[in-house]
Amino acid sequence: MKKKIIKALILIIIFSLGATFGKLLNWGYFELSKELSIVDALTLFTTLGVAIYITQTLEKEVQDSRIEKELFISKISEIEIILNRIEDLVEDTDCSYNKINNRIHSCRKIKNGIFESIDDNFDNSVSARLKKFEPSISLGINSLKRLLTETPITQTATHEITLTNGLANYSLNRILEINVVINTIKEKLFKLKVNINSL
Amino acid sequence: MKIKIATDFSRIPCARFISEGDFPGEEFREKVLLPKLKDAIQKKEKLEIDLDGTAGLGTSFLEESFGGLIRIDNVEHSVILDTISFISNDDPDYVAEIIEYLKEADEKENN
Repeated sequence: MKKKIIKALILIIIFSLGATFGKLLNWGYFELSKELSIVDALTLFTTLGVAIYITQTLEKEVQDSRIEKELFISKISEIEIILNRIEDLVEDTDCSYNKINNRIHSCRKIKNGIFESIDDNFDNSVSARLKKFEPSISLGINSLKRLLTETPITQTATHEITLTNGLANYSLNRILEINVVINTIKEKLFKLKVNINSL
Repeated sequence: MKIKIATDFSRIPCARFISEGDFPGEEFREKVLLPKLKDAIQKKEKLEIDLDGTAGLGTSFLEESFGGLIRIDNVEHSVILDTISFISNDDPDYVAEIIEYLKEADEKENN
């Protein structure tokens, strides 16, 4: 309440000062005409129409498109995060095989979701441009799945993966192979992100 | 006839052999898939396999389950393809993967 009174007082003081200076210096003033030519009226309404169109339609379209792009990019980032987690998991001795299995399953589900949404949300030419990335990303994820979850049919002297009671151990060579494939997938995902961002 | 892996076997299938962890492909093939497949072949019915609803189906699980039908149980490749159909809405890539493992197992058996 006290603040409101102070604000009102400040407004009155400013207005009084302005009015006093205006009278003392005799500044010019505007005269408002009650007449308006038809050309001026048309110009006014056209300007108003364009202003409303720009703010309501174009701005909204630009904003919607930006939000849509951000959604796609954040979905792609989700795959990258999972790939990073897989990289960390395989480094551990005795990592949970089911956890790795679930991570790669999520990767593929998200990837499929992204490309389905690209089909649904972009026009044909843009969709075709973005879908060019699908085969190489799918191939990468499928190769990674095999490297992570394929245990041998027969036991050999050298084990790339040893799995006992649900706990997996990857050989150093296999870890390197996994990292190479993960980096290749990340490169493809980055290119896809850049392409989406430049739309 | 229908098998839903998530409810008829496990939501968290593991790898290939029993020694590797709980709910492996070997157990799925022996206890669930093969008996139903034999029944379907005998009754000349289709066997629909629903792959949805699991935490993930690893390469070893799928290879041992389906490739094992050819490699261990000597079911003919063409008979499997004629009898089995798949539902895989969560991840349609699983179907292509299984077809590939069946083909690989068949090629190994015939070479």
